[in-house]
Amino acid sequence: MNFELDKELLFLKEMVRDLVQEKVAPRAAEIDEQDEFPWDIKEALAEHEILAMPFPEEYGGTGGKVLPMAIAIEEIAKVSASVAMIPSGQCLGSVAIILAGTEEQKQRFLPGLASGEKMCAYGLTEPNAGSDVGGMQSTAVLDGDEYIINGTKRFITFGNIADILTVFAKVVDKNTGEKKLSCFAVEKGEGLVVRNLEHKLGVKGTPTAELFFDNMRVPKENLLGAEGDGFKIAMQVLDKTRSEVAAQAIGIAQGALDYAVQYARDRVQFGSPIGKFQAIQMKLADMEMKTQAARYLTYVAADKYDRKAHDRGKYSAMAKAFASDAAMYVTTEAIQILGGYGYSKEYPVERMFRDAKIQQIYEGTNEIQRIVIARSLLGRGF
Amino acid sequence: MQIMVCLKQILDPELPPRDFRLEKGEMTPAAEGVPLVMSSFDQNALEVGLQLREKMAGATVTAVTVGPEGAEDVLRKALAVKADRAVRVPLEQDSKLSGGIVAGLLAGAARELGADLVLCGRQAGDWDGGQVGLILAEELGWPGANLVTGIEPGSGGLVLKCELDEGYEVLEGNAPLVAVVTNHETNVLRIAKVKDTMAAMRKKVEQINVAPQGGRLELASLEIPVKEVNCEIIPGEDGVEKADNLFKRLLELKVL
Ligand SMILES: Cc1cc2nc3c(=O)[nH]c(=O)nc-3n(C[C@H](O)[C@H](O)[C@H](O)COP(=O)(O)OP(=O)(O)OC[C@H]3O[C@@H](n4cnc5c(N)ncnc54)[C@H](O)[C@@H]3O)c2cc1C
Repeated sequence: MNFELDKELLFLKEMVRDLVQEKVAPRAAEIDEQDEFPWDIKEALAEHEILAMPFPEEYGGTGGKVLPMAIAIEEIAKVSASVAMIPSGQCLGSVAIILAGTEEQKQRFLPGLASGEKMCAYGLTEPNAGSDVGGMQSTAVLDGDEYIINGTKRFITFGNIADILTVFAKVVDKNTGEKKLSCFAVEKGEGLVVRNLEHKLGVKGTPTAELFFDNMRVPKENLLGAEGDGFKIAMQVLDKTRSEVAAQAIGIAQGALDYAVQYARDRVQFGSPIGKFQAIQMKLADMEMKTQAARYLTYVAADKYDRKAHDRGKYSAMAKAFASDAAMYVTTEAIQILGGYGYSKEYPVERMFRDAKIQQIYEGTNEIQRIVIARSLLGRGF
Repeated sequence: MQIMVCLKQILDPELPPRDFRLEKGEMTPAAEGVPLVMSSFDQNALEVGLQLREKMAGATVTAVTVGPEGAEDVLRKALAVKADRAVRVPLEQDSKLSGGIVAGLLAGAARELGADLVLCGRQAGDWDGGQVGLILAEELGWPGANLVTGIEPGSGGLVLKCELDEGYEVLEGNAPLVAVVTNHETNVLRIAKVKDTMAAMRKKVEQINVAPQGGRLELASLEIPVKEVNCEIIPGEDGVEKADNLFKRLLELKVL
């Protein structure tokens, strides 16, 4: 048993770090400040094939494995969680096609996404259905060769800039009224109105949108999987991408920890660097322990997904909840170590603290993750 | 055209002083647990080579390093930005090597490879010796151009742009030659792509064995200078008085 990353992955990490230092680091604070999607950085991520990472090679991707993705995302998130959401969003929006799409659907949608020419998004959440996915109200009714989709999706990351959306809605049988939760690959067009939700606490520059489907007609051949497969697909997607949320959280935590360590070395009070005070040392030690534990749990979860281990869903839930809680803890303590400066926008830990919070909420709140984990222990019926 | 680019692995110059240690009888900096990188002017040389290859059909870039097995990391980095071949001249270093020895080893590799153009960085980012490139030209008996920032194919041969104190000069020459490269905004090493990076780990690194020829200079001792920092606050009511006192103090200390 060896807990070190392979040389290949270490090399990838270094490559991503070079890219991030050159392209992202100089823009990280600005992206947060301006709250605008960084198209220039998206282009750089496409050019260097970071956006190709979620996709299998036969569709123009670099392999589609989760562990390398997690490593790349972690490295980006150390500097900017907002930028890390660009590749993770591209993954989240496309997994349903990769997992449930037919060969024809994959050929149609994936190469454009792998090259970064097109963007995608994942439309699951609704105003009245967040954690309670089954309570979704959007509908799809088959009419000839098309489904007519109606409903509202809320909090959809990159919903405004995406070209392709994987959307969940309940197919209603016109005769029996039976409803079957299903998944569709939707190309933007008539019948879809998009509104930007502004003023988030963090992950600025990652537009979150509300989507209004008003009798939107979607060709029958855009159904992913069979009618009724929607819930299963939605959960399978999240089993994969939760490790990427975890990776983002570790990156944020590591970024804040690195900053705090440097600060503790340099900041002098009472005639000595504050890093000499035990109170600060205890904090740094706790921050390091939580970050490292989160990192290894995330790598295990990612590796389990790549190896198709039967308990991969539980591990991605554990990694997501643990790592995002760790990121919240670490960034809070980082601010404390920086004192008043930590609370100021002049220093990056304040941004990291705001960016950490969302990791505990999206792709299933940490309460929901804990339910998943507990049920895996207690068995059916709980 | 066979372009050979010489790459040296060095301790990351960004290494904080507190992490800089000596080992092996205090004759070499400790390399364990500290980041090792490709020397920065060598990165510029590699970029010059890659750009030239793009402009010359059939040209190839071979990355060469002298060093232990671990030094292959710089070759992998070169493969990741699509150098065609990677060659290591094995050498266990237990002390600092003089520029002459390294130049001799690289000259051996250049002959073995049948290189037409050899590119190296103007000086290594660790010792800043700045000797290897031109001694290498001497060893090979080839012309050597210094402070080159870029090379273009010309009508007759190669056109080299070289930096001067104020401005630049343009040289024309024919291969074989050695170009010693300096940094410029046009030769910042490109960043690799994901697929090439992963593929670089699976590519072969060749070895060429060359016997080192004894250099005339040997390292006798090495030590990390101890810096003492004393802080003194210059008294004074206002700026004028403080400046006056500072001036007097600097005279006393013989700084001025
Ligand atoms: C910035 C941002 C980006 C997002 N991106 C996307 C996206 O791209 N695509 C997408 O589909 N969605 C996205 N979301 C939506 C996100 O996934 C949901 O907000 C999340 O799943 C929670 O749903 P909710 O907000 O409706 O909260 P609710 O489900 O209303 O939950 C409210 C609180 O109740 C708790 N709770 C709910 N049910 C239970 C229970 N059974 N037991 C215990 N506690 C419970 C929750 O944990 C939470 O604390 C995004 C959200 C944000 C803020």
